[in-house]
Amino acid sequence: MIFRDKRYIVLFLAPTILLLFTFLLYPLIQSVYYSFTEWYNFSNTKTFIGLDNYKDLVNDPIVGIALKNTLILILGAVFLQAGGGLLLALLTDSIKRGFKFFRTVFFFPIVISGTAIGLMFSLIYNYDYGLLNAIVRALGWSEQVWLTENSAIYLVLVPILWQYVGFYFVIFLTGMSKIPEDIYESAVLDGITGWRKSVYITIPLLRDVIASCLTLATAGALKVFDVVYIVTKGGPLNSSELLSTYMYAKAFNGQNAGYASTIVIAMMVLGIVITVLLNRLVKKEAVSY
Amino acid sequence: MKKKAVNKTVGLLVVMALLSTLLAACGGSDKAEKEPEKSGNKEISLRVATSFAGSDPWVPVWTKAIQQFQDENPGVKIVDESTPVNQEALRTKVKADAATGNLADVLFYFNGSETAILADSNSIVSWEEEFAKDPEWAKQFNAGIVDKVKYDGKLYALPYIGFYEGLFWNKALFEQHNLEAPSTYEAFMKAVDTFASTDIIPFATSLTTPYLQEALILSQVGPEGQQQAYDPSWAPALNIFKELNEKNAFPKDSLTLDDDKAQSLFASGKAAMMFNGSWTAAGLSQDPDIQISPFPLVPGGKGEGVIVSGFGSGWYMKNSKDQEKYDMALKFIKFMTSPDIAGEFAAIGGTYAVQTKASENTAQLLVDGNAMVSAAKDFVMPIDSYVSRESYTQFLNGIGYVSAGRKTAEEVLAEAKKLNDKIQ
Repeated sequence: MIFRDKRYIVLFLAPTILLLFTFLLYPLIQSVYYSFTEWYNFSNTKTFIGLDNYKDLVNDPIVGIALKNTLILILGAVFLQAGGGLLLALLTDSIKRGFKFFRTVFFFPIVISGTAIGLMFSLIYNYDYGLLNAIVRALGWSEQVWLTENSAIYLVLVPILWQYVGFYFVIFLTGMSKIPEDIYESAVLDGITGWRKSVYITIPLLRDVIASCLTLATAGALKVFDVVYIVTKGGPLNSSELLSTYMYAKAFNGQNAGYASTIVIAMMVLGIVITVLLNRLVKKEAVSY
Repeated sequence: MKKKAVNKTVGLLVVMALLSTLLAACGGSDKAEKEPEKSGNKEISLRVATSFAGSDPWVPVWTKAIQQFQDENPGVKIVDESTPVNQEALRTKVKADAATGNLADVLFYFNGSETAILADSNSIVSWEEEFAKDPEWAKQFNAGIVDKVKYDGKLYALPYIGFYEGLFWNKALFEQHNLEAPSTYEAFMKAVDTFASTDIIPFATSLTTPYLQEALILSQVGPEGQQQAYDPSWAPALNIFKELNEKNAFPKDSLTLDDDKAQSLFASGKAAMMFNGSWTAAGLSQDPDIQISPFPLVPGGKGEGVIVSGFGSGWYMKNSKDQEKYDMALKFIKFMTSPDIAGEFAAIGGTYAVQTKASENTAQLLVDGNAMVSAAKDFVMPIDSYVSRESYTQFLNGIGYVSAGRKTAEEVLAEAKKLNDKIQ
């Protein structure tokens, strides 16, 4: 076989390695370096300051808020996004009519851009012109300020969950279609019915898919930016700040790219740690039918 | 051996092809720049980056002026890279362009601390030589203003559209509630108390935007005090935010509201007052009830008759090695600063550092705004023109904390000062 020649392996891998190095690894290595520098205004002057940015990061109270919010988002993504996707898939899979309709409806929000969804929800939550207050007024109740310090992070969670629940729904649905029908037929002969079928057959056989979805949901939660930035910009009083929105504020509003790079490294380390932990948690032998 | 050599050659060719594809993609902009070359006639492509983009009120005039320049100069293509100033998009673009040696040929961009970054890149023209070559053109610029916008004794940003900040108020709402014009602090506070007891919002503002704090600080500490960045003497001005917030002077969602929505509350008559810049005047000038006046002097304040006004942006030109491009960029800037074109910009609003052809259609609010500037005793530039961006964003963010009673004014000032001192 021609592919036994290792030079061809190198040759065919070269484009990917080249692109990965140029657009991922090189910027990443650069970001690590920038995180140890004082770099303002995107100028050509960068001063090496050792661990100073990391010391500031540890003492920055907004980083603490952002970390807490990022963890809330991860929990929301795991339980409500992936969990919600699984629940919807189980429900849709069990119906006899309207399967295609529900599949389309649940998947639809994925195709809308995060910015558009963010804008839509910022209008929904707006005090003077918002949909929620219009409903409240119509019911004769008093208007509310929806985006408060206590509620903002949970209210920005709503559009994020709504947008991506369909993504996991489709993955689970595809996973379910791969489960051989004869397993269910045998179980039915043994007298299994309704939700027991889901709990004892479908969910255990979807274990690999669930593991992948958990990793995807966690990684996805760490990358959330657009919706939060449009709806609250991390406010009020930094209460809905995420590491991503704080990094953006430091880099582009504050023009402090050195400190912003430090936040990027913190995000990356957090992502790696959580993903490794999650992989260990769900690591079991692969399911085979 | 022969087979090996052939394999090596094939491998090498494939890798070279891949690399050349990648490099060709990276060099796209260079190719694009050379593309307008036509046989015989050289077509010049000028990259122009300004703030006339998005919802900026001067966009229609700017677009028309570009078209007119291209029509009058066949063979010139203006590549409009204008970017909105919102969310610091223009600053980021220009700074990144300057750092990577990819600056546009012509810029209409901020001066003050931003000039330093462009001047340090050694890629922009200092205008003294061109003024000496064309004294007639130089004469069109107000010499006093030109002196004020110099950086390190040199003129890099040609002043053009000036701005002012003022207290906009709705005369009809004031009359309906038998209130005096908010020309004194007492009248202002009485209006706040009166409107707060109705369903009219007394003062439309977002607590994430800079305008009201500019007014309060200047009124409190005067022009000299305003230059002492984040001095503890600013604290009483910030405490007024807390007082106003407690009096329900601001929209209930002022902590998450953006400036556009605050403006629309005022423009739609849902709010009685707003402090904002001259760029908002054009949109408000259709309503004859909208008035403008300076912010009243706060008790014990030192800023009587002083307003935030100036020429915060100007025309920069890249020092292009290509003489034809240099000449065309210069021609473009002379065209934009001509009385005809400046007159069209002036009809939209603002004060001008160049002679403008008088427009008969200037709205009364714009006339009143210019009269307010003429009557002012002194002018200062906004705080963000001389402090670091990071300290300023921290300071702006802190105003919300002071208003909500979560931090003291002194704490917010100390945090901002610490960041500002880092790069001063």
